[in-house]
Amino acid sequence: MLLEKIIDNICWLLSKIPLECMELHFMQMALLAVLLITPLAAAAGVQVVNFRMAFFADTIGHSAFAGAALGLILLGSQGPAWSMPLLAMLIGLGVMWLKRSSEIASDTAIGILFAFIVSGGLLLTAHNHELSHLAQRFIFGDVLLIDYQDIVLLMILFILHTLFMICNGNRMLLIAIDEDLARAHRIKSAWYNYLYISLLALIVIVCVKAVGVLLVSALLVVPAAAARNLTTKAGMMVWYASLCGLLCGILGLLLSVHEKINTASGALIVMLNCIVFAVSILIKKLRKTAV
Amino acid sequence: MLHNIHNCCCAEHTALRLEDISVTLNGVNILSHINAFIPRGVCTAIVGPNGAGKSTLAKALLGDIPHTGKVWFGGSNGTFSLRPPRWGYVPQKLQFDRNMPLTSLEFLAASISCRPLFLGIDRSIKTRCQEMLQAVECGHLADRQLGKLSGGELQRILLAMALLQEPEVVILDEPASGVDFSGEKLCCGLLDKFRKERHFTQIMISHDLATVAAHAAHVIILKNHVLAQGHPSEVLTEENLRAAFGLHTAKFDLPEHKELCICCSKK
Repeated sequence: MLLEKIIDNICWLLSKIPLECMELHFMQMALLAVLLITPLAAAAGVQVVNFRMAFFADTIGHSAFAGAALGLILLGSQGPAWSMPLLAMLIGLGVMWLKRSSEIASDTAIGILFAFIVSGGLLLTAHNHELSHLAQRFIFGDVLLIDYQDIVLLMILFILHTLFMICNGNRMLLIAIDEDLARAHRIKSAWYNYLYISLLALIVIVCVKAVGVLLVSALLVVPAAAARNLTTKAGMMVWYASLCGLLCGILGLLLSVHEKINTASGALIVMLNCIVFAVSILIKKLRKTAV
Repeated sequence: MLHNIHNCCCAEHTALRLEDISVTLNGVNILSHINAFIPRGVCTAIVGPNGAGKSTLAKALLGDIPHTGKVWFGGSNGTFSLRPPRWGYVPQKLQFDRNMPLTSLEFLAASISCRPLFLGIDRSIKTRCQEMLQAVECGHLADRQLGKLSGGELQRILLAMALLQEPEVVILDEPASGVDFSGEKLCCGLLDKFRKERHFTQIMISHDLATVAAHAAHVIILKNHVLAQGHPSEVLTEENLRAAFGLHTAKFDLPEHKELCICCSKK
């Protein structure tokens, strides 16, 4: 209840933005979601890029409709709220376990679980019209359909991720550079990897609702990749990625509801991120030639 | 009375005592019943051919891979314990993404500071890192991207990182690999200087016998088990080298190290 009041107050503040579309409650909720999702996904994306886990994020994203279908079949309409994050975490932990404890190469391990989860999702939804419709919703996503429950989850994840990175950012960086070196510095790399993967799985699942399964990894990877082109400092990369994600998110959402454009918000947000990435390549090249 | 570092194996003068260490990975017996001691405060080289288990032994010492047997750590109070010392570790090479945005200064700061880099580097940490970079003759590389460094420069940055941990034992895995002769000479020279100043124990994994002959005061020859250990002149004999490397090897010009136990060199 308290959180709902806080959300309502923030929405009231957002309604003061002098734009006609911001008078609508669902737009205020969507903008609030974008303000939380885009910097969160971009900051998480820095780790995804450092650990070369883009395909991994994609696999977790694809577990969304299998998770949702399982939840609906087993627990009814409230089921997906529990089954989606749970299945995503299980898949994330499974990939990490396969990668660490077997002789299978990490991309093969991810590929196997990707195939398993996508085929499982398709089998579950194939003969049920309601579930097929649900699958379509998760494939494309819609930030305009974000509800109170999603915003609350986003707020919790935002705080958890920020706290995790403040306490363990340097440890995660050393693990990304070289796990043997990190272990020599008494960093329990396996523990931090499993912990971070669980957190990442939850972030990916919330992002799926906003931009869909097809674009979720782009929301994580593209701002971080653009930030890589703009700086040589690890400390600045997080800020550049978050800023890039946030600006593209706000602009994408507001432009998508403009009467002359009127298009899918998630797709436009990702497209703007891609444009920023292209510009970042140009900036990097110009800097190189200037040196 | 001065101790002979090659014979004295009491806790006060021994950094590590390896007791029946064996390592089996994926069904392959890599190390078998290793019994050895590493004197405190000097450079001990672990030599052997490729596949002898040198790097595996280093990882076992660091607690990175499971092993049977015990590693005892000598304490200045004269007793052995199983509590590991503060390690400094310089790996053979870093398996990292060379395009990762990360400067040398940030790399060092991340290894000694809890504050994440995106919140800025604390002034005192920055000063410590800059001083260490100067000490390893890399002061000019503070803002250089880690992935853009040469092999020798990267090795000195890794050495700086190891030294910033204020280690009691520094393990170097193949310090001569991927580095040119002058880079290797500079790195080994710096290590000798720091070891004498800070009295840490240095363990150098190597198959480069010239480097070993020039810098090690104690040598262990490894070929899945210990072939020989002791003073370089007693260990790097033609017979031992033939048994380890299977080759006729040239006779080494071995410098007289006259290294003392840490307690004696402090006096």
